Amino acid sequence: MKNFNYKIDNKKFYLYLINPGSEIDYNNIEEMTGLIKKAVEEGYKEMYFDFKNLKFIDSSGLGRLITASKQLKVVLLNVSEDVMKIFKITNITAFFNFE
Amino acid sequence: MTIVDNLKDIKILRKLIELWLEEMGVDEFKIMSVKLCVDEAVYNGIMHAYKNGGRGKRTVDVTMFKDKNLIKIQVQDYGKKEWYKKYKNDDNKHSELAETTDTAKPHGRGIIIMEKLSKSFKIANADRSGTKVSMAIDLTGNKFIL
Repeated sequence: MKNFNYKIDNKKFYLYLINPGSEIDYNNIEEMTGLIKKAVEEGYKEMYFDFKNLKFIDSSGLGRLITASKQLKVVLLNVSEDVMKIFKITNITAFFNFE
Repeated sequence: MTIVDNLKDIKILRKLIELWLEEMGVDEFKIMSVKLCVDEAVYNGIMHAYKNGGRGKRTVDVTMFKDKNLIKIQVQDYGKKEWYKKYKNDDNKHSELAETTDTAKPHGRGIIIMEKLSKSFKIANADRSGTKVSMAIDLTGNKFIL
């Protein structure tokens, strides 16, 4: 089952989760990685992750986002308060831009 | 519940935890905390305890129960001992690798997450083989200040 999709809007690469209440873990990070790779290969210098539908992310997902931040600018959109706490607890907010 | 050699089962376990805690009226962040702690412990058991060795299937046992305002969790694997030592030292504290001294590394965050979200956290060798993670999540109040 597909968890992620992407769109190009105003020359910006957006990745988003298809279903509300979605989770990012080791079962689907390869799918996310594929889209990050696509953005990098197509020459985008920044990538937008719309996390409106994100309910849960574990350390594997956080780690993959950090890896992505070394390849391009990572902008995280619509991060819920609860998910944001996990970013803060792990002290990784500095790797990303939040909007 | 026993997870055997299949990371996809962890997703089912998380759903069971969610249903169980929702029935009790636990707030969403606490539910996420319990799910995340169990997720990290089970993943570590399957991926680290049985890495490069161990016979048979990668089995992890998860035990959870409510004790007053605490959710007590125990996760045990039967693989090699002390895989966690690169993340924790003998005083059961973070090693330098796990600490945020190198947050740029994409790995090693699971133990930090479990420690920060739980009221008590311990990882140690199990009696016979493998490793046991014991933690308690407080359903009341906020353990950390952000």
